[in-house]
Amino acid sequence: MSSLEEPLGFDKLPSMNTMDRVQRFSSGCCRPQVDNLGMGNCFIEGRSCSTSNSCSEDNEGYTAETYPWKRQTRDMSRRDSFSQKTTIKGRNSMKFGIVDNSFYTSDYQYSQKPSNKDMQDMAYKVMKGMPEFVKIVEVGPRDGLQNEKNMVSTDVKIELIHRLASTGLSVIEATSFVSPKWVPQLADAKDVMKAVHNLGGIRLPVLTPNLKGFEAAIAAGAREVAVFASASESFSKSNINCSIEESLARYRAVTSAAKALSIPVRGYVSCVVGCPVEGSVSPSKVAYVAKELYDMGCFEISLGDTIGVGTPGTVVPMLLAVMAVVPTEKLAVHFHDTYGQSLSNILVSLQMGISAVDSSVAGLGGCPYAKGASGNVATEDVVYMLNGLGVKTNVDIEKLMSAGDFIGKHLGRPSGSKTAIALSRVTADSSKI
Amino acid sequence: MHKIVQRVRFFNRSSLLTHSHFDQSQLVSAFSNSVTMDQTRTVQFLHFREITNTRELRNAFDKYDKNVLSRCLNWTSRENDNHHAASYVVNHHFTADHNDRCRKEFSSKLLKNIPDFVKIVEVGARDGLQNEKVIVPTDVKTKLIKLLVSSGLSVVEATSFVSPKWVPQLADAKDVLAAIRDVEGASFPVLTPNLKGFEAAVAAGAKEVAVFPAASESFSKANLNCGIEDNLARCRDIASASRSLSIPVRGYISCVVGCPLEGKISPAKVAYVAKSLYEMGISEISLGDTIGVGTPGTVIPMLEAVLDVVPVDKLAVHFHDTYGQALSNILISLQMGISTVDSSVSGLGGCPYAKGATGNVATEDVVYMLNGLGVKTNVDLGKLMLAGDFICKHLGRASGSKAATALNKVTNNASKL
Repeated sequence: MSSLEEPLGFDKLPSMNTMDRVQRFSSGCCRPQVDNLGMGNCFIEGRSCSTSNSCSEDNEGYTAETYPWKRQTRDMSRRDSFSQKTTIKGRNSMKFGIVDNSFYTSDYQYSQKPSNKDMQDMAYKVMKGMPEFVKIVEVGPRDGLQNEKNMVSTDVKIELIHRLASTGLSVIEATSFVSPKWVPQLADAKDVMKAVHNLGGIRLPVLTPNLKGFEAAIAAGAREVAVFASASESFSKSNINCSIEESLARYRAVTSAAKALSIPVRGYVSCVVGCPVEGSVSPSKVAYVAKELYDMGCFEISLGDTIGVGTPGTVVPMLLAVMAVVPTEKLAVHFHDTYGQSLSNILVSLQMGISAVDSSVAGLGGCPYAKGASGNVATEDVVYMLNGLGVKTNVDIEKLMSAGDFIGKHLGRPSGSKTAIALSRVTADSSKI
Repeated sequence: MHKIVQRVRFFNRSSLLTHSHFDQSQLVSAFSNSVTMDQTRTVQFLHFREITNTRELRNAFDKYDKNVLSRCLNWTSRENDNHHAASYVVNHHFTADHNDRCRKEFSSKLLKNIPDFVKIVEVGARDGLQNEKVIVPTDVKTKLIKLLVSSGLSVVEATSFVSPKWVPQLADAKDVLAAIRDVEGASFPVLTPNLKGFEAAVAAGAKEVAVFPAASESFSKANLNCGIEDNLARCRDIASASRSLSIPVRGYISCVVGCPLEGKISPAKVAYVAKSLYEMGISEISLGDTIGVGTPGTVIPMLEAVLDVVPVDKLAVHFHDTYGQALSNILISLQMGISTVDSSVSGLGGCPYAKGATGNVATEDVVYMLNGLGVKTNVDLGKLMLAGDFICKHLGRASGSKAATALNKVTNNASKL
């Protein structure tokens, strides 16, 4: 049996047709070089491609990233274990951003065991739905600070937003026009909004619970708003003092006023997995509320696991229910890390094709239902995972960490992000990571 | 562009349905045809199919591209009759009561490969405590181990026969083993770095040992004072000595994703070490992300490389939560069929390479996720939390487990969860 150190010779290869061999051993093989990834390979796809009625349309959209995808699929359908292996190596290298040449010269033992196919099927299946770009919606200045015990001054809030804007984040939830009686931490909403509404290149949505709040937001310069319904009747009554239907009626008023002014409206659904009052929440309820928000004109629906009790076992059925009635690209996920489950929930959501994730810098924002427990997932941790997955975010993690440091200093507490803590305390020896 | 990519994926996906439970050709032709049908007929057709076989349609939602479904169900026009199809499925089949049923019924490809049972290897008493600054007395260690066993954990790593010069916290290895000699219901592997340690362990009553080579040459030299090959030679000595005594040997591989000295570690190296351990008769190989830098992007290639050479039932994963990535790495490993996970009660054990950062993933968090996935562990989360409370009180610090913290502080109203 050849050892792992011996490269596989040509004579040991399973038989392949000429086309495959040319593909496999050309210099550009398995590497994301655009010149090698020509349209010609569409013909090699064979039947799986031609069943599409819009093959020509599909070709137009090809880029270096989509191309290896197709190669992967073709190889899987042909069940050629050798080509699967090289392609998967190559595909993983490209998809996950690890363009590491050592993989190609590495000393794999290419076995022909049938179980390898299943195993590689699995690897393929768990990663294939993943989007190439994920939009991160930063909710720290609003959802984060509103749950902090310590009040933060207006200047600090404005500075935080400025710092977050410089990290590459494209959406930063700035504040909330909810009555200061309920959320005293954000009583300075007008002032914050007036100071930041002109920040170029980023969107600054604000929460608006009703028409009055909407009008105040517009007067302060807001150009995007958000509304928030609950999937649980009891939570709706205890949190916003009205039933789900009443809240939806209020939001219809907000969305029609917003439509008249061409202001986009984002919809939040809370308690999508569990409710502190009712316990488990049925996915069909979540789908109902999500659909209502979508129908009334929300451009994006953010599904929030308000108390952080979700796990992939409950998140997947919930997402399946919602994705049946709202297109996936209109959905975002907003997981809380109260039970440490948010990153695995985010991962499974990405696997299902969700491409927008809400998070909070330094994990700002505790959980009002479990005093002392954590709340929002930390943006640094999410970006770290996405970077590792090779998913683009356009967010600079170091600048993000400095924004987190800044607000942490003001709040007088350490970061809620494990990534931020690790990266700031790592010793000199570990600098190679 | 995204829509185009999705459509390509859909049509490529249709050729991948080798594991489907329904008549693939029927459904494929149904959906390909529906692309050209006019919308009313589409909805009627689907509606009819729903009534006859809603499971098919649900599988279709699950397995097919949502763009095709949106054309069939006409999301954009938002007319009531077109939504009937979706609401029928939504109202009748999505419940959250039983995670087990959910997992199987929806046959979601993301969850169906996850094993039905996952063995948790508790390393808190060894890997956890050896990294604590404060030395814990023998009776506290013994009580901790007993509490852990009573929570249902079947493997509790008890201690280590590494020289006390290197690991003073575990200098009482012999005494701990003597104290737990009569505890039943679990196995208690102990670390043995070389033959001398192995003999001391056996003399002290150990019935299972563990060895720990590294996948990184520099780390091996710096941490264990010998290169990978020398280390494997020592492992071979222990493996043959233990074979004659019928003592199982577990193998840990450290730095399977990243090394504090070398940076990225090549999966081939990890596969090489894993294969060597497997060939020398090691009963289980635990792949350790020692500095916690792994993400699914690096974990999957590493697991693929190792799964090439070692059967999946011999593998375990040992992720550190230093960057908060452990649970998502564990999830992806489960999706790839791994069914043994190492963790540490209350997240005991920091990271020696990033002072103040966390280390081991907390057992409570892992059990919480596995419970939510409907995976059996035989571990009682409440009793586990008692063990965690006990040791944290003694160490004088808060639990490193978010699930334990939340469950301890949750208000009365939230008790229905």
